[in-house]
Amino acid sequence: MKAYSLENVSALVVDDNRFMRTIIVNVLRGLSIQYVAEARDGHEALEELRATAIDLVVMDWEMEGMSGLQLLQTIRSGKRGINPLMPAIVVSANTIARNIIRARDAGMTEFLAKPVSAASLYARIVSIIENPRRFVRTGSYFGPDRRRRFDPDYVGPKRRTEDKSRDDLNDLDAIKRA
Amino acid sequence: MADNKPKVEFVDNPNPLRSKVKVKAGADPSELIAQANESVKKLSGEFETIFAESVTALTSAMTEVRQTGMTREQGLIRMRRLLHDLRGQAGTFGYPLVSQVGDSACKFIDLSEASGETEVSVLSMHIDALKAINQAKIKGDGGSIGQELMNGLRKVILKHNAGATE
Repeated sequence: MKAYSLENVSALVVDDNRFMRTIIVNVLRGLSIQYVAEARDGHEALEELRATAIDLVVMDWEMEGMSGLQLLQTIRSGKRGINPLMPAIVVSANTIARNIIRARDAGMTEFLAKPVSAASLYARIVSIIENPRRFVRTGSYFGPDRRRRFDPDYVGPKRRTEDKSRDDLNDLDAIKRA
Repeated sequence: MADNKPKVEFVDNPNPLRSKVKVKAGADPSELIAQANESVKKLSGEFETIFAESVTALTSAMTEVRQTGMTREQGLIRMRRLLHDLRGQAGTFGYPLVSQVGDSACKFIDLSEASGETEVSVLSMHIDALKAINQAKIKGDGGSIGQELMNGLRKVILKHNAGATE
């Protein structure tokens, strides 16, 4: 893993637990991020996102009032003048699969399981820097492409037109016919 | 034949974060991570105070839950919140056993369908475990005592789940 200087990055930490916010803020400042804003809930987060040029959101999922799900959906909707492509790291101690899937389907960029460590948070930031994913808009989803890699052995349903192009490329008979 | 595949639009991600950072040539990220760990370590004392206060609050919430049963009333809601916060924070400060017990209790609350005396008793064992960890100041995974404690909780939950499906 490379060492990045993160001084110019501005981050927003959203958590309704004061101490948890302090932990994440300390990690980010320890990683040399100079500007770290804090929000106690989704409403404060939206205000901050509207008022400040934030590059990265680190957000709790289980929040009272506006939940992490509602906050992420609002960000991805692009309404209220907020950048819908904003990188969002969802932080949660609830690692039950359905919780992670819900966050993925709401458009999270990365998931970070609590307890948080400096190494794990840094790894998520590096992943956003080094492996940016294009965004996908379908009738029911807007967010980073949920397919992180192309698996040639995938046998499930193929829903995209580009899947067909790939099939054609892999079909030697079709290539010969062309 | 009509193409029934849903329409998908791809949007390029300009990745502004990439343009804001620079690679520190020859630098080791572990130094940066160590610096961040030091910054968090300063909060250890505060966590230990929060842990002790949480155990007291959990004991009080447990008294309420004993009276109401494991129903979604204030006592249980407060207890779930305290356990959730503990499981999320303890591991950061060298108390992974607290995180494990908290996680086990939260999952039990989230996934339990019944809310009677048996469930209250399983929950109470988790609170007792946290009290014991706090009193004995058990850091890390707790060694053989920690393993015994977690195995005990696992067995109780497995036994409870087996009873629930009978």
